[in-house]
Amino acid sequence: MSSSGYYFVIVGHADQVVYEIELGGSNGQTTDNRHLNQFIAHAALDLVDEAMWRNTTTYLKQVDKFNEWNVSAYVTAGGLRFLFLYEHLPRSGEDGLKNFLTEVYETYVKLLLNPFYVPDKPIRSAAFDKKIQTIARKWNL
Amino acid sequence: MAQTKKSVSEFIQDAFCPMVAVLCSYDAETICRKNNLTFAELIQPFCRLPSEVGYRDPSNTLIVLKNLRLEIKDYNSLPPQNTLAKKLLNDCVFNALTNGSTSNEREIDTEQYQLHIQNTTPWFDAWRDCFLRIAYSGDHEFLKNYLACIMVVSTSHLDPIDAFSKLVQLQNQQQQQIPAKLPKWFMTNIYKYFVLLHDVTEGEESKAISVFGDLKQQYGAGNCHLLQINSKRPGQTNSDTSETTNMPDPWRLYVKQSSTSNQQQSQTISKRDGSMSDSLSNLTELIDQELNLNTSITHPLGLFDTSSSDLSSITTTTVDEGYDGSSITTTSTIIHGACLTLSDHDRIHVFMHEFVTKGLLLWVESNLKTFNEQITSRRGITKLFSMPKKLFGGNASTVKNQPTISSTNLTNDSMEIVFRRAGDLAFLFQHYELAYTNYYAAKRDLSREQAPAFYAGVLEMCCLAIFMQESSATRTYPTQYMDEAIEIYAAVCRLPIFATRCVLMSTEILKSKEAYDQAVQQFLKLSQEDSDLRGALFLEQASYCFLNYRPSYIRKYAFYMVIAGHRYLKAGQRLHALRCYNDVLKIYGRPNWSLALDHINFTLGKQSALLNQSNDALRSFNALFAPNNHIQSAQQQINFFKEYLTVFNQLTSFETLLPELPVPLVDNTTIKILLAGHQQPRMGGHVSNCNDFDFEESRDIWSDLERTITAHDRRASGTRTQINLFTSRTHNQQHPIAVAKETIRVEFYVRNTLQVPLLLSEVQILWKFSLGGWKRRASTSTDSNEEWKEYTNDTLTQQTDQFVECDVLSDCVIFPNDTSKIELSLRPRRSGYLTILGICYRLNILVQNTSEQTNWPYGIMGKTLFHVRGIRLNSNRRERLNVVHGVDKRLEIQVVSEAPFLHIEFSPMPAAMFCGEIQSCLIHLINPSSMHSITRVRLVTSQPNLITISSIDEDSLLTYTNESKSIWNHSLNQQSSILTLVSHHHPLLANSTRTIRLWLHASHLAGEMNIDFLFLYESDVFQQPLRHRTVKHSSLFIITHSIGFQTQSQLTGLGELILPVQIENSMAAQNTLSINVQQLSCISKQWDIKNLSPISQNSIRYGENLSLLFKCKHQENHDDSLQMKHISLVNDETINDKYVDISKNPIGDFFRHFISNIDHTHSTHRHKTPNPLSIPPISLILLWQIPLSNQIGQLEIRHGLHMISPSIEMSHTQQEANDIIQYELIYSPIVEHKFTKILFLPVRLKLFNRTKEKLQLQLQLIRSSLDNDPLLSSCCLWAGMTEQFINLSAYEHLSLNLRACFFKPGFYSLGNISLTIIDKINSTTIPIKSNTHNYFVDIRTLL
Repeated sequence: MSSSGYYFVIVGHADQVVYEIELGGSNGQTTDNRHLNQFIAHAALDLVDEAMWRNTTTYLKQVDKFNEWNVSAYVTAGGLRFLFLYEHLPRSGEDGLKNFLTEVYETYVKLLLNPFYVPDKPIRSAAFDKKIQTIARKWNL
Repeated sequence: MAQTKKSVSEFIQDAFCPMVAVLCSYDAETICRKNNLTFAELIQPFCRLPSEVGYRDPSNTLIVLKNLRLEIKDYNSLPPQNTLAKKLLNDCVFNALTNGSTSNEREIDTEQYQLHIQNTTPWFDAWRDCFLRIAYSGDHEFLKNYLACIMVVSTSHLDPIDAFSKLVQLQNQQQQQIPAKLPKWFMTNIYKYFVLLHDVTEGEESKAISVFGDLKQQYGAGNCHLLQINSKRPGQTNSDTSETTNMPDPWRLYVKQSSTSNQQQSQTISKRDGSMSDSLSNLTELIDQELNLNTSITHPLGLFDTSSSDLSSITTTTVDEGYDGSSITTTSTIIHGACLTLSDHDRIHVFMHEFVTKGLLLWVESNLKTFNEQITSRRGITKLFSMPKKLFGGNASTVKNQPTISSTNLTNDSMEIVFRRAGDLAFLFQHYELAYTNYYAAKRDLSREQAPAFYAGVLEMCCLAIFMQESSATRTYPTQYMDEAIEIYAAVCRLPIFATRCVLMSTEILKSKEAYDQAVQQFLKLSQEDSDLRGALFLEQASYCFLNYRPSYIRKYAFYMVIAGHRYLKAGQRLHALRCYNDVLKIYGRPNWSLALDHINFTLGKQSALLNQSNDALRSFNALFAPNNHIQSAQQQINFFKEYLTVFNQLTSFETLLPELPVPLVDNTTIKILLAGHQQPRMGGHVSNCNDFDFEESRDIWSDLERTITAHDRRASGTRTQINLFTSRTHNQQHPIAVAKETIRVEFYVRNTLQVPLLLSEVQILWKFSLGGWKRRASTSTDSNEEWKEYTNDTLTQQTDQFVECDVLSDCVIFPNDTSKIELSLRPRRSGYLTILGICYRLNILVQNTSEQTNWPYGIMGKTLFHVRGIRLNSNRRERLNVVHGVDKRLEIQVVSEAPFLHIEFSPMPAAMFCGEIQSCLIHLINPSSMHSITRVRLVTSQPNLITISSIDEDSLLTYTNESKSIWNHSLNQQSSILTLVSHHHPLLANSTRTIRLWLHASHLAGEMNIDFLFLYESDVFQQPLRHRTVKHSSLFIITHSIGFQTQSQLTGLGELILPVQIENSMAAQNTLSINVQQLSCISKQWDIKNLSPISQNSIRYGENLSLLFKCKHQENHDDSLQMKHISLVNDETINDKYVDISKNPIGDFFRHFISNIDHTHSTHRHKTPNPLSIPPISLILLWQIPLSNQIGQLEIRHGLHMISPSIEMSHTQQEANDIIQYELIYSPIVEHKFTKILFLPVRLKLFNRTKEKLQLQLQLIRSSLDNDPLLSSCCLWAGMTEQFINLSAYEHLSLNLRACFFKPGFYSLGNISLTIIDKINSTTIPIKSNTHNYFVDIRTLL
């Protein structure tokens, strides 16, 4: 992950990746460490699972940290886990991150309305990609 | 979780045990060497005291020492040098894995993960023990300093007493020299013990006793011991073998571990081969020598654990040489203790016991007492000074902030040192309470900045002392002390070795207290930099701790194991790395963590390959190319692939069977088997299209058609229909039957799931061939019969003499994420049983980058197997509830011996036709066989009414005649739908050809027309299961609208039929084509046709319409013959009297088809005897032609014909009067008259008897019918005879002249006529329903 890059992943109920995207940062050079994002996100799940029973909110703030990478999480009402990896908070700050995750959740709920989408299956929708990127841009990620 | 075998307190106790040095004279060593041991080694197995011993502390309470162990080392032994220490640690970790096969597994079962975790980590224990053993004592502590020194001189020495005093001197000198050298001593007055070693076999006992007496006198009885060993000569062992074999060898363990085994074998240092222990000992010696020259006090381990950059070349090579299983530890062949009997062992036991109880413990007691006195005496003074010291000390420390390795600025006899020394001594001898008091006092008096290492050491020991008090401890365990100690050691003092020791102790304690999160913290604190091996081990331990969380942190465990694996790799511990990665592989097996999974698999594959574990390597690499991997980048995949190829080429060179390759993916549902080769047209026509994979042979029509033919054959019952194409949709319960030397083609789709284009080359079918049958069970393999032997091309070696000949596809590129079709063919050379297993090919990827191409590895030969399964069964409950698939035998082909093969070729068939058009084409039947003739060929089609055949020479469609009227003198029998092309009487001989003309009549309906042709041929050589063979062909024609041909028969009265015929150009699109109607023929038994309309033009252009009117007159036809009447519609005088004879073939045949089609009651094919057809009363055949220019500009005339059979309304229900008699009134409807006189209007009544009987009629002219019809102004008045009787013979026309009279102008009806048939037989009258009220007349006044 480059210094300004972010990694966002939606993890399903059986710990499978439902959706993942690398946001911001410079493209191309990050390929060498792409697996690290997954490793860190995956390792953070333990802490997310623990934190979500301690908090009453859906946004869990920062749950884990590995070296310079921080992981913030958002747990949906349905038990889906949104993880957000970053080195530095986005310019819009903690609130921006929270808003980003909330809006992504709204988008996800809209996707659920699609009868052809089976919950917990990987999301492969260009429109969804685009929407996420728009939201990310909106919150200065 | 990593649990150690020892309890934690035992572990700590063992880690800190009293150290004793052994100083040996040369002669004593010589005696010991008989046993291949040094003296230190000799007594090492005995230094754990089996019995409890005790001593009294300063307060005179008895302290009982349980399980006391002394650590005895040679005086000259030095802790191993930096590089050697590293190697030792590496070795012990490596060996622990290879040795330790503990099957002690624990199962962790959460909602989502099931894991099997090893309970113990023997490699960690081994590393820890080794680490603690070679760790040296710091300047700030005394735990690892020698408390005592055992001087050993043998009786064989000339002057033992002198030797002892020299040894004492040597020790004293060493201790007092400045700068100090190793070894380090606990305090100035260490305990000295004197051992006189006596060789029983060689020495004189008297001398021994006398010397020992002197010794006791000189040094005190308690401090001396006479040890007798070597009761046995080394040569004696042979005579008493049973004893030697039974002799325990307690040294084996110790000597192997010992880095200072002084075997004096002069070998050169061999790092790669040779026994490891040898090379080790040699290394040690070298280093020892080096150290002796070195005057520096710096401990070799002082530099231990610095960054790997300053590793000496030796270390790097040894590490690289690596723990890859090539250098396994040697079994030591040296026998230890060969000269020692069991009684010698007992003597050593006694010696150790006496040494401890009579000497050492007394020394400990007195020293503790001295310390205590020192402390109490100085406490008063210290208290006075402690206050200002603290005040100033704080200030002073800020000035010199940089850490010092020589740590203390405390003088040797400062209070803190005394506390520490007292604490250490108490700790070593298990008086933990006293130890704690001292440590705590030392901590209290010290500030952290003053002497950080000392402070940290005291903190550390405080914790340990509290922990070791166990139940008696009143205070809680101070974790923060330990944290602080680690922090200071690591960050401030840069003493990682002590930090490591701290962590080892602390984590053990924390784990025993189940404070796993704190243990993790401490492990991770020291896992960051420095030594990779330590980092790996600590990370691994931390990850095991994660599993003990409640609930288990499984994913954290996985992550840290991966990092640990990475560190192991860096440390050169490949096997450990593999173990780490393998353990967590399953956790990342959830969908779509593919980047992480790829990383693990790639590492696993690469390292397994380096370890020569080819199967594991291939399995891991294959997983890399699993089809569910979508997001890996192309470049990464190229890297993976290159590695894969390299590894593969190395590993599979010894294999004989082809390896299975992961890519590309064969789509098993698309596998099609076609039992036909590509056929080249020999006559320049088209071959039948049943040789194509997209040929729809599965349609029911084919089996229907085949049964249509075989139903007539006597022997055919039970013969299954011939199928040549087998797909996933066909029913594949039966084996396909192929013929030897004929091509079998296989088509399938492969998918490239990677992001890089794949290059397949040398692709061919992988097969298995057997002469006996398919091998169902393994038991048949024992059958060595030649029949059952299987031949296959599943091998890397080239074979000649193959039973099956395969065509090779040289190159095939599959683009990323693309699917491509591959078609392969093979030819069995003889009859037998052939199984298609899959494909074999050479796999590589297409690299665009030219710079990479040069050193790109050669592709790998491998295979991909086909897996077919039948359709899912759904017939009973069990099958519905489960997923049960039927058998699929499409890949198991039965090959029968060579048989004739009919080659059928078509001359070009038209693709587009007009409705009703007639075209012809040629069918060539070719028998390419050189031996066998084909006895019978039959053809059946799906549209028998549109097909007819003729011989080759009958090539004209139209046969002309001069007669416009003739009699149909051909049979009109129902035709069989089966056409016999070659019959028994005239078989198709070998190497011969026969050509048949086929006439096609396009249907009257526009659209697509599909005609399926099934040729079924038989030969004498055919036998079960191949009774006959078939050739199938399916043709598609596009039929476009041409002509609309309609008529509506209109029965006029008087036995006449009006046929207004509408001929319409009904082409769909506007064009310049014109349709020329040529001839209209009428076929009827009773009607004679006549053209009423003038023939002005016969060509109809687009949008035009031609209306013709024909009149048919009923005619008497006594012989019931079918009459034809041709009417030429051509407006050309020159070709007069030239008519097309429609009774001639093929038009005649089509007419026959036409009328048999109308007659629906006889439409089934099953009638064996041709039925006479019921002929419609009238049939019209229109012949037309369309001249059009073809592509090369030539004029081409398309002929066509339309047939119609207008129904004539002769319903039987109206077989009443109206049908019997027809009449009509003929008059002028509008009459102008001046009415100067009465108008008489002549009206003509025409009558026609339609029956064959003679009739009598009564005609009444009624005066007025005004009453009947109020609408009319009036009816006419009839003049003349108003009632008369008329006789009408059969079919007689009769006309009567009547007169109506009118008096004034008006609108009159002429309907007041009544006709009645008089039936004489029944004497009744039948009134004829009047249609006469349609007859009106308009009478006008002429002015």
